[in-house]
Amino acid sequence: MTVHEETGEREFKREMLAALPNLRAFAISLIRSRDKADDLVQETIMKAWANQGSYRPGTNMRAWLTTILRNEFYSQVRKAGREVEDVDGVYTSRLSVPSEQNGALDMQDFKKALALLPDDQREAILLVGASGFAYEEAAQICGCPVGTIKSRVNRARLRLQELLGITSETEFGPDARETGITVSTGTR
Amino acid sequence: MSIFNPDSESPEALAEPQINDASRLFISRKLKELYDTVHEEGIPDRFLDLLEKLDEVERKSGAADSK
Repeated sequence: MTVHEETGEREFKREMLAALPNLRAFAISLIRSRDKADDLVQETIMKAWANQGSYRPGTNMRAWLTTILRNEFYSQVRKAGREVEDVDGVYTSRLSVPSEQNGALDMQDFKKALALLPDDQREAILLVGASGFAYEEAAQICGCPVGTIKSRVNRARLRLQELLGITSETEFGPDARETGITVSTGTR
Repeated sequence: MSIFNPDSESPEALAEPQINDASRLFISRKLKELYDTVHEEGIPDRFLDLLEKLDEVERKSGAADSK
């Protein structure tokens, strides 16, 4: 093995490690079961390692790994025949009605709302809104046109807004001011 | 319209209703929070061990190949 190859390998591993937290956050948010998400991340690492020849160092490691993870996820879903996991009781438990006090909306409610989105919409809003991919990158990862991703993200936002009951200005709570909202009713 | 910015969607580009900026900000803040909680955990040992193993296997096979 040449010195150059050795360096390339270290670099590959380093890039991979740097991308892992974000990849794992995507997996956990996408499928909600942490165990399954971590299994998926593990398989992604092994697949990526076996295929490292097809990765050009210094290009987009996060996008590359996310594409592998996504493909792996959907091939598993297809094999399993679309069984729906309800690990945290997210589907069966109803969303709690956002409380009046400061529009307090905890993370549990947000997760539940996210879980209620169709897979393609959840995936799109996670990639763009949380993983930090550009629409173009998300489109490449999902193998669909940019317009489709934009539309899915938009529909996801609308649905979340609806599910979380944040249509009313008064439900934004104390942070509403920074967003430029004027609380018009006298509830505060 | 003029400069292409992947992070901004002009309402006319999408023939669908748009949510208001405040909702959008609220949702994006929650999404970040969701990821942050995972990021704070760091990389679990199982992945560090796995990478170590993969690395080791490769080093060994590399050394064997070059003989």
